[in-house]
Amino acid sequence: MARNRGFVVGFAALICAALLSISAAASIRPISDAHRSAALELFVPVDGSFPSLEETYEALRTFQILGVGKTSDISGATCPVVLDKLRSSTSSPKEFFNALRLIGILGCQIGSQTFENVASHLQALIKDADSLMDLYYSVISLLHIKGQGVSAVLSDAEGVFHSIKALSQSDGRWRYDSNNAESSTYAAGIALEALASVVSLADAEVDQSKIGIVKHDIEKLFDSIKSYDDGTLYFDEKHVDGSEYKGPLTTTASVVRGVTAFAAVAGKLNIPGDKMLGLAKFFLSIGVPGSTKDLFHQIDALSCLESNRISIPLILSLPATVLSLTSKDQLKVEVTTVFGSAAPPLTVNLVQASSYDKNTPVLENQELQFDTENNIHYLDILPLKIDVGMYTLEFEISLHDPENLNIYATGGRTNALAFLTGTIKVDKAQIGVFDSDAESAATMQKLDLSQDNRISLAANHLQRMRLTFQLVTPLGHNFKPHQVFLKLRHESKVEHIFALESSARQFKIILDFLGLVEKFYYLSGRYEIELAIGDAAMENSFLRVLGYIDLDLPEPPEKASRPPPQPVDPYSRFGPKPEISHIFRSPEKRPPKELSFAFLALTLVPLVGFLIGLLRLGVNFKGFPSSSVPALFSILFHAGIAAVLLLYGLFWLKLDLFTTLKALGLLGVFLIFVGHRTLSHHASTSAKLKTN
Amino acid sequence: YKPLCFPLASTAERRGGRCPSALTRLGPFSDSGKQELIMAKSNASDAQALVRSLRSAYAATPTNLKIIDLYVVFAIATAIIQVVYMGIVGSFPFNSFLSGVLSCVGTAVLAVCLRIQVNKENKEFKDLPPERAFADFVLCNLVLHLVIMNFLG
Repeated sequence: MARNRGFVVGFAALICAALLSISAAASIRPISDAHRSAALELFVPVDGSFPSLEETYEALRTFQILGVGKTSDISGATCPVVLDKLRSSTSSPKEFFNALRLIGILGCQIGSQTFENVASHLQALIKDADSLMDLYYSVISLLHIKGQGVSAVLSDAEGVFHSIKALSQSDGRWRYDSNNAESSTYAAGIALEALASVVSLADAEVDQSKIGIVKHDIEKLFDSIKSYDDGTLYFDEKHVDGSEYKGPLTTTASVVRGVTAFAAVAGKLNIPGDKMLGLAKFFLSIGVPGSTKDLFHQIDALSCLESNRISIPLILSLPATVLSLTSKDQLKVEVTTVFGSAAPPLTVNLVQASSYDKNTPVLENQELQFDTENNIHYLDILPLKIDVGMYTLEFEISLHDPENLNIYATGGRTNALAFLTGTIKVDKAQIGVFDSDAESAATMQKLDLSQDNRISLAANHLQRMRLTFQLVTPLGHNFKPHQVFLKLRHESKVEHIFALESSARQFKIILDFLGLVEKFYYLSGRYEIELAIGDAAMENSFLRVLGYIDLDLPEPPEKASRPPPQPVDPYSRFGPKPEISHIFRSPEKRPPKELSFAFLALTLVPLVGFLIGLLRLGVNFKGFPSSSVPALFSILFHAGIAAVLLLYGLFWLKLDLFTTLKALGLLGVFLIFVGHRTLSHHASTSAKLKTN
Repeated sequence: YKPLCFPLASTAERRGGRCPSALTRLGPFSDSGKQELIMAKSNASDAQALVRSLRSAYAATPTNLKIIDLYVVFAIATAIIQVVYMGIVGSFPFNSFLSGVLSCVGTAVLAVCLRIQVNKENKEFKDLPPERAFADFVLCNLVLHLVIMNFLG
């Protein structure tokens, strides 16, 4: 069963994959509740606070923009840290920056004296600062202090402006400091934000020509904008492997912040609205990001775009891309800002709707009506008599107030993909078996595919089976679905799949069993017939068992191919295996103990016989030396031999060869010495006897 | 070259008259049946005479040689008993069997060598003192038995 479902699901997945590869499809949606719940899930404080002030800011700013979350939980633990940083005299510009930008959101109670101290501290830091980041942190911090109502003025605004501007490059990018030759797009965003703050902090008006030069730089920067196939625009670094590479999202967010901040203070910038729309689409096309930093950058950048002075992008999106004819859906289109807020009065015009496969227009120039209650533009498609299928829709927005053209960016023509689905009727279905030569006289059974009655057929290898039917759309036209398959499954689970041919009027398949005998592996028996018809535009795609057919095929010849082995349960190999019985070497048969002891005794008999024989021969100890010293040597000689034999006995019982050899060496030396003395004494005495 | 004569020597040699006198009692070929009877009778009495002469000759050997002979007989008897035991129970610890048998046989061989060297009638070893031969015997036995003990297992 799972395999059949997988059948249809697989086809649906194929269509989805095809969809995703289509370019210029507006599948983006404005910021929605999905983002809000994601924010609450991602930004989770640990023990009432976030790990660092930077992360605290990211979390709280995101909550503030999206309108979710509570800051009161965080402020308890974080405010003291912020206060600590502000009061400390050794804080770096970055620390002031992280602390001060939180104050507005957290609402910590901080005295104005602290602010004034910090302000004077920052002024000193600005004078000494030489890198872009230090200048940025100090200037923005000062701006935040000004935002708290404390007077903070940049005394040498022109000088600071100049020092920031000095780090710019000719292509619109900025360097981080004068020693670093690498220029970065991210740094450009930072610099523009800093310049905007300088302008707003200056006590005297900054020279317009300087501002004009920066505007020119911004235009240069926008020349280096990159684009994806679906029309979204973004910024990225020139060299991906730079030491400070931050991905396209962070870089684009930084540039958007900088540019919108600068436009806020400097007036109109010469940037076409399409580019702002492209940037907005870039942020929205991410969907819901999975990491806290990505979500923060996305939301922060979009909030800058939501109300910026260059052009506010208006997003056209379809809440539903699948419209059903059966449930009489209307085509609905939403035009909002990036955060889903209302757009100015406008009209949406469906310029053209064309079938995706054939690219022929089916609709032209339909104006959508506006539903003020739900803020949606809609179109009744039922009276327009459009058939089921996949369509590319082209929309155009026209603003009612021509003044708004300067404020909003509508982006010309927008494309969208939509599915029109309906119930497909299977008509005039017939199935039958006939002899090869009698096709016209075949008796066909009528099939009613809406009901579940099974047919039973029987055929031998000389006959053929025919199945025909028509597919009709709700509007009465012929329908060609994506997949039409017939499957025959044998009792032994061997399957064969056939595709049906389609002519102008109907779908037909003729199975000639004579030709298929070999394909079927000569397996006779009951085959289950299944019909699968599916398409994305078909609401009632089905995989239905029609019945069965008993096939009588001839015997397989010697060399016929065997049917492929059917998959076994993959987990059966993890079951218990047959038990192995080990065969040990059977020990050798030993003789009975009594027999062994008997023969032991018997072996000692010759020894006894030897001793008796010696006695009968009359052995004596007359040859033993009488005087003491030679007698001692003789005794030692015999004792030595006895010791060696004892050593051998011990060797057999417990010692190893090396110990034995060592002992034997010692004993041997002794024995040789003693034996020599004894035997030479004996020899000399017997020589004396001879001569005598 | 003195040919050895067996009781049933070939007719040609008998006619040649090269055999010692005791066996030329066999007359020339006249009747085969009569000859066999004479041969059989003479064989039995010949054997008895042989044994008697051997015994008396052996009694004349010196005592130390007799001791060595007795030792050899003792060693061989022990070897035979071990072989009979192996024949009964099978040769499972074959190394032990070999070790036992070769110990007996080896010591018998060494004893025979000692006898040859010590025998005063043996002109070849005239200059070798018997004590030296005995020392060799002892040393060789000790080495043999070391190897035997190692192989015994």
